[in-house]
Amino acid sequence: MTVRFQLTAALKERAGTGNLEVDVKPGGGDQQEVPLLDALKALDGCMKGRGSPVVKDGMVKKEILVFIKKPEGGQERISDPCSRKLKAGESVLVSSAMDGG
Amino acid sequence: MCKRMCHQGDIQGGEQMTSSMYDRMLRINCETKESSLYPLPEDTRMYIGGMGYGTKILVDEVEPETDPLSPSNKIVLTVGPLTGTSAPMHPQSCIVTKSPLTGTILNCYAGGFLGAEIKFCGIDGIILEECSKEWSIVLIENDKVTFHDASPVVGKSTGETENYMKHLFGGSVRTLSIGGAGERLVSMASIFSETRTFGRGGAGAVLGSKKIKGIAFRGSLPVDVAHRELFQQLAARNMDVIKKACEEEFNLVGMFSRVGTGSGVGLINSRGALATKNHTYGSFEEGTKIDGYAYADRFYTRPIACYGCPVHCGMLHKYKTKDGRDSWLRGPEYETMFSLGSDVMNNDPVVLAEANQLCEDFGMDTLTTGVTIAWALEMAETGVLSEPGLPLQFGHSDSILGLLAKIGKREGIGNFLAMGPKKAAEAIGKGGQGRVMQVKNSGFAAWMPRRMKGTALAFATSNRGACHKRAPIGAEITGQVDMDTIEGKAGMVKGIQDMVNAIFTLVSCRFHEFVTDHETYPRYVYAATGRDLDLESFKATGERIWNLERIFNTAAGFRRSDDCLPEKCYEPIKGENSEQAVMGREQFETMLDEYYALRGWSEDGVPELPVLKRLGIAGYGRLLP
Repeated sequence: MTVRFQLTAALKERAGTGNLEVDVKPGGGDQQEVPLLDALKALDGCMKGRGSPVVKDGMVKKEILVFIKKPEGGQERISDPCSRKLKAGESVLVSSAMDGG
Repeated sequence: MCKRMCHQGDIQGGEQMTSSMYDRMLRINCETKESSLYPLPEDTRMYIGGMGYGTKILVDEVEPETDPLSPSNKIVLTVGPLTGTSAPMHPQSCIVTKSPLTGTILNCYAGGFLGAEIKFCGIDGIILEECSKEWSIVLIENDKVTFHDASPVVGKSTGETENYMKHLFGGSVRTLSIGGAGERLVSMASIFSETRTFGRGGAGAVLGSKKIKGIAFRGSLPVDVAHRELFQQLAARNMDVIKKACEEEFNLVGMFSRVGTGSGVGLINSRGALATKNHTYGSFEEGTKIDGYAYADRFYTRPIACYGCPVHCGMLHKYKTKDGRDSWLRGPEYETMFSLGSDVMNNDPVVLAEANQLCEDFGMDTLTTGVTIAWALEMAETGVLSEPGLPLQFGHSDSILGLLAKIGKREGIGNFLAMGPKKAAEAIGKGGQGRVMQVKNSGFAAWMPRRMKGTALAFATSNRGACHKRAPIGAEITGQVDMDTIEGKAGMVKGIQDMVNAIFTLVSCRFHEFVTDHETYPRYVYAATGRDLDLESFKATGERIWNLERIFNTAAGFRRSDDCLPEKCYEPIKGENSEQAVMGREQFETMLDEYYALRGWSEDGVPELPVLKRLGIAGYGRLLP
């Protein structure tokens, strides 16, 4: 399944682009969904530079924000990618943290 | 960095300081040119410093109904217990005055090196009173105050005024100044201090009303702390944490350190919360052309730091102006990337740089000025406004730069826009009042209240109008809390307002809290001053200050009807990214009711006696109706 990623801030800086499409093998069962963790690991594989910017020890790193954007609208913040599967049509926004300034 | 940290017996007269605060301020009469040292009474010193001192003094000494541009208004410029010490990220000084933009009490802040120099003068700040008969520059050297003729720089920019003062008094002075906007009493006029700005609320117009073009400080006194070993441990540990954060690629402070505050435009844009075209849309397609990364990629960039700060979030960019000259610009900051970028549909980083520079030269707040221009462009689009010889179109560089210059000079349409967004809208009528994005005449900061419900409440209830520094923007934009719901937001907003007020007594850079746990602050206060507070007492100081401000504003005539959002906030945001987010009227009123109840205020937003008694300020009830 092709997963669309939108990257901002330091993630975009690392990837060299704000938009990435990554092919992710479905985990088995429903071919129209993939484990989010697998998608994020695949994203890490596309990043320039050393190390994995997004995933560490099976969890999203604390400085990284992951949102799932639904085709019908709405954004869902995800802290634990292990429990979530991406459905066809959903895309993922990944950013480094931001606060007021 | 801290060459004036003292050694045993260094203090003037051999007396050992027992606190990092001098417990005295310089009272300066601009009319008589006399000055005196004012020892601060204990009931002021219990407000710790910074914003606390400023608020207490202004509420005690200025009538709430005072005309902000009259001699009766005062400017209270203060520093805090960590200013001028080795505590990292505490360069700021605070101005408290009555705002000519909003009519409320105003507090505004600037970093740079001014705060430390004020402390080195052996004072906790100055109180400027009355008005000079002729344009003057003031030099303060320790406790000696002299007035100097400002006529060579009347009409000149803030930068030219700063250079003049350094030429006149020597390059070691630290300065603040106003530009033409402050001289002409533009409501959005700011006070500039070298690389930083006392931006919001029109403090520049108050200084202009006193015919003070600039102030220079030179101090030679040391700063000590009450408990040196403890203080040095706290400061060293704090510095280690901050430096480590700066080195982390994905840490917020690290991003600020590399490309400045504009690093966050992308996330806010993706979350549908970047106000675009006078808050009509929630995302700007061309935001990537004007964010911090765009400036770093396109222009030679070098960071600049404030006193004692390893983050150096200020960015200097070298660019070519539209007429081909080489120029340097400090900024623009994230907020300006909204107000003179997305909100006016400006996708050109050079035009944005020139707009930012115009605001610096004239001495104007980029936020409220940009918001006012965005409104004017919408009014032009609907045929309500026009200006002979000047196109008024979103995204048109002549419109943006032309309107900025007209506001700074108070020419043509600029004279009426100089009143501020709400007053300009009321003057023109024709339905424009509901389209102007402001609270209490102060323009919205770069966050969309329709999208972020807690931020909406914070803007509406802000004592100084539409203040983003005391809003739950981080929690909402990162999705820690659901930005679309109202549950729990009243409590969250109250908590942030109280805590930030307390922190501003120190006077912390706003970003310091991003890397520091709250328990550190009362420990710093104890180590610096000997004043022993637990965290709850420290927060209560902030709550006390918030209520003092509210009392002043209530006595000045503000009520619940002023804690409101413009009509446009009750229309859905256009564009897909923002999911047609809208504030429901009932939603807003429910949040406001809950907020007033948590505050211990009446349904009309007036502080009531029980909360004043709890906070130890029942005597100020005399100011209330």
